[in-house]
Amino acid sequence: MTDAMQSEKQAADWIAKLDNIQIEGIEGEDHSGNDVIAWFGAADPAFAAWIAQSVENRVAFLRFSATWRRADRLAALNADTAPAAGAAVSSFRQRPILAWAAAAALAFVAVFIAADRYFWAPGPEVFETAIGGHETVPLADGSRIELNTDTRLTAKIGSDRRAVALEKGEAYFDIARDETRPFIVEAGNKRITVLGTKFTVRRHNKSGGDGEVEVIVTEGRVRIDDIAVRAHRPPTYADKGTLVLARAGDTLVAEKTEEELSAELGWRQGLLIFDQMDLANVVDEFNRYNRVKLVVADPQAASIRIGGSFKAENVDAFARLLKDGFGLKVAREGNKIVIKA
Amino acid sequence: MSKRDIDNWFMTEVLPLEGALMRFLRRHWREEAEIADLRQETYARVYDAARKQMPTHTQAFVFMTARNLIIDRARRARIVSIDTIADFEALPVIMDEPDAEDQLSSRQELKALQVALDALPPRCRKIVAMRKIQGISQRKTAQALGIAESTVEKQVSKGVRRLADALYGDGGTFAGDPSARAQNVKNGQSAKVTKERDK
Repeated sequence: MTDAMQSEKQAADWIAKLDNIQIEGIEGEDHSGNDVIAWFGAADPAFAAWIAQSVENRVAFLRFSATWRRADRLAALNADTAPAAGAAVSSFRQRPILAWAAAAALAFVAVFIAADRYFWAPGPEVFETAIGGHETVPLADGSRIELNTDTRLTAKIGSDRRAVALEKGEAYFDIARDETRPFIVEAGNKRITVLGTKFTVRRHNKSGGDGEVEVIVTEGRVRIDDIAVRAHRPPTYADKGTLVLARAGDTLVAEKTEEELSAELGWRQGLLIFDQMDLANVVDEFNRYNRVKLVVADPQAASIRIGGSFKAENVDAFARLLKDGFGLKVAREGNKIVIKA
Repeated sequence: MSKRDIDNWFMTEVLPLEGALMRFLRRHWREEAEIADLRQETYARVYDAARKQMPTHTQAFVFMTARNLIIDRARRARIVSIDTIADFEALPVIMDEPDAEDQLSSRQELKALQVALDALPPRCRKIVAMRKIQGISQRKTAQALGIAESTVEKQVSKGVRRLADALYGDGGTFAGDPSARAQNVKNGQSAKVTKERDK
């Protein structure tokens, strides 16, 4: 066997091994680094040695790693997607010689669809809060989800995995540990996978962009992947005390102090906590929680820096502070409060 | 450029060219058994070069590397006549266009994956399906099928290799249209390396 083919064989074996251990390692304490090679290397010195051995090894591993991740898309065939099962039928029919294999595969798929329906028997549950709302909901697996203002999500607790789709807003997840059932949160084009930990996920809906996803980890470790087709980017792993801001193309990871974290999570106590934030951004935050919207009418006022903690729903008190404390002009116009320098 | 950046570049920019690269290699190298080897060595050279300096035109660079590799190999193996080596110098870098469906729609991607999955041997397919469609761990898969975990791991290893060939190597086209390959061989006949073991 040539060196290159040897590398290929070994790389595939490593992928298979990684596939077997990865899920258990998601929350491991001693893994550092963001990409799977660094992570796996830290978890298994034999792998670290092998990948460092030659560039042939590395490229073979990368090729299979991208392949195996691409195959994650197959999950779309799972469960309640009847059209996908139909598509499977037609693709088998194109090859009559393999009819027996097709029949076997179909039987197999059918069994799993049935099994899946059974496992998902409770059906997806939808949870929602209005503007200014704040609600904590328990899930069947013992996890709890705390929904912030103007939030909507769907939860399915299955026997093999637990899944939440965050359609809009922000939520705090306190996930009961279960190594046999990963907990997956999908938000925009990001997928966050954990085994049991505490974190928040927020979807930013700024006009124009397709939205950023912000993840704050307060306990344990999470893994963040792109859902997008053919995005072969390695996953990002984020530990306790980390804020991850994922945009369409890139992912920013920032370490946060205790204080910064509790400011970010102030909403759980109904508070907005700012540390010298531009008024423009402060106003955006207030407006998430209130039907009466603050509007900053000139750039001079928008750049004023605000620090302190405020009751999220008490927009009138905040407007008074701007008037009395900062000498800004504040005028109520119907459902708006207009602020000028 | 960090290693991670190069890894990302390799996976997002280089791997999608694999279908075109394989056609290029097949056109210029007769021994089918050595094609995969040439592909991997092309990748290794491309990656190595990118570590020193990231090429500005990935596609042109990959094909140039493949071309140089073929020339080197043919020389080293002394399997070609002097005449053929002279021909090599003129070996054109034919820009096989990457497949039109390079950016597959979500539905096409799923279909491509399904076809690749269907093409696996039955046992391998079943295990890959359990892992990827059902999201069942290797351990649970082994339990469900009443086989050893090491067997599951072996099948995953086999499955990932075949899936890679199907998803990248056959150009990500559905079912790897054999007529397209035959066409390529015919067109590429003139530039084909001729082995001369019999001489």
